[in-house]
Amino acid sequence: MKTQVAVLVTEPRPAARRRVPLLTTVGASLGLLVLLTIVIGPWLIGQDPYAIDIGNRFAGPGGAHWLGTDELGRDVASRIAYGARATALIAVGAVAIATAIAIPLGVLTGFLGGWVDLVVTRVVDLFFAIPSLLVAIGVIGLFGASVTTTVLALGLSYWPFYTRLIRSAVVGLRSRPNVDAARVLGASRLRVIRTEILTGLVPLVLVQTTVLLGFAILDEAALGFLGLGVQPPQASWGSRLAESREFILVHPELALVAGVPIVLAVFAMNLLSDSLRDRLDAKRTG
Amino acid sequence: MSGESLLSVRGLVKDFRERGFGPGRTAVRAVDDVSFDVYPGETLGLVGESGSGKTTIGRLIVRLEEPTAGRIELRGQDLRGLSGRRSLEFRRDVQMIFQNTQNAFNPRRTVRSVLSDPYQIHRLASGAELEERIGGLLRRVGLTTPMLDRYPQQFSGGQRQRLGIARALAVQPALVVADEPVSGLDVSVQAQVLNLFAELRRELGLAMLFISHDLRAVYFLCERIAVLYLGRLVEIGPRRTLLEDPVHPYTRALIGSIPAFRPGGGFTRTVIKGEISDSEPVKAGCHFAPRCARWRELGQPARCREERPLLRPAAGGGLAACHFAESSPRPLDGVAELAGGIG
Repeated sequence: MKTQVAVLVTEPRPAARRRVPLLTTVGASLGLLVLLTIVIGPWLIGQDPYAIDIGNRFAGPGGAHWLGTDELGRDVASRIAYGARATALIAVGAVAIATAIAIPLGVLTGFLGGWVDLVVTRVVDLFFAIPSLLVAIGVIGLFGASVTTTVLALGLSYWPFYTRLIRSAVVGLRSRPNVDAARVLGASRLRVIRTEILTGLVPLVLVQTTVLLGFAILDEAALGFLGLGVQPPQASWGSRLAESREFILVHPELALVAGVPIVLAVFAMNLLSDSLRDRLDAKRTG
Repeated sequence: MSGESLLSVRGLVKDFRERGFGPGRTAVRAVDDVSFDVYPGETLGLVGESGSGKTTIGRLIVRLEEPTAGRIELRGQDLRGLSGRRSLEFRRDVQMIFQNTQNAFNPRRTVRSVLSDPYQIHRLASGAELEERIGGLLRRVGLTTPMLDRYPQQFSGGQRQRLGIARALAVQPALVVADEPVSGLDVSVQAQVLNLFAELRRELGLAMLFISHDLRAVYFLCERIAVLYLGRLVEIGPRRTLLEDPVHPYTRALIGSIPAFRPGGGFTRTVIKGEISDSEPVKAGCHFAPRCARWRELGQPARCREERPLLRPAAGGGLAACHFAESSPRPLDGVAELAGGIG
């Protein structure tokens, strides 16, 4: 048999324009709207969210007050915009805490396996058995309600399930042949984690971050509504919801204005996490 | 084969325990007292059915698994308990090529990043020199440098296997363990990759342990062939002897199972009765006896059930582990056609 090596050359394909799914467009637009509200909303509206004007309570939309005024005559639009800042801060902080615990712990247990895995997983299971709202209420009961404790409370209620998620992903990644290949090349454990495990976690973490941000916005609102989150008069989407609740029968539009941003933001996060999930599937991208 | 052996495997045993804790878990003996040598520049074929332990032997040699018992020596040095720097040196000497080209690469890293690994881990090159050597490596296996910025999943199976070969050759190993390197590929691509192996072996003086269930690929590439059955070595010898004049009944059955086309249409082949899992774990005696045609022919002698056959010299320069090897009749003549049909 003649020894022949065929040189297989494939020309790089011209970058095909990918069609962006409609739901991705909707999610991205809503997300952008929320982001704009946070960044330039307060400046655009130009009203003090804490200025009380009792003579001008429950004013309808129009004039200087785009969305009218609340029960104390404060500008609703600017309270929503400033509230978006507080809520976003809480959501991002809570997700950051959960991620900071879950990734190191999940990678450690999933990669090492053995008794480390066994012990830590049981401890995580223990935390998992406590309802997350109970954890949140416990933390707030201990330290009092504020932005900081809400961040802490939500972060601490998310990490157990996130850790388990990361751990099971790492267990799957660890047994792939590319990890064997790295070991045969002489890569240290740290190098294997860096080059083979962490890179494989990127899509999961991105998707999970958006999912958790949606959860956190919703949970902040729930805690605020229960009076356990950010305390009035400080503006947040949760505290705004709590304030408007008292007047829901006489002025339902206040509750509506408080609730709609929450729905839109959570919807945006869910849409974005779905499209990220589709797009980051390693088998289809490159 | 003469001279210093490169790799020497002696009495290798590997047990896999059931998952769980404590005693009382049943152990499966995947590799059972296996000994062989690989000489510098030689390609040894390791063949056997699924579950015969051939992949486990490969993984033991590259130290992805630790042996339960036995010694693996490279140039006379025991590989157990190698630590730190010595272990890294060993990694430069022995490399592996994997079967599954899909999963042997991280889909999130470019070819450039993956092929940089060996040079970075062993501090062999960096910067412009690294770039140059990766480019050379890629051309060496028949790929081109513009492919460096692509991801593994953008390649075909054959191209990915070339990448696998490139990755293994980067550290200039003395021995490469190739675990079913062509089984996942199209037949036409198999031939290309086998040719590449033959060429590299000739040019680089590479020794290779070629693990495969494809007898034709093994015959094409290997100077010597070792046959495994249920974790035991049943026959080892020069390729011609083993394929044309095998003495062990299992080897004969294995070779007889290759369909041989006959002039005038139709083909013949012998089929081994039963499954590999039909044989219960045998403590004493021959593993193959329950499926052995020769054993039934001879009236099921008790010796095969009681005494473990050891490897001993057989006609043709090989070794075979069978009590009744000498008295075996000549194998089917289909084998000669197999030998003539390749090469």
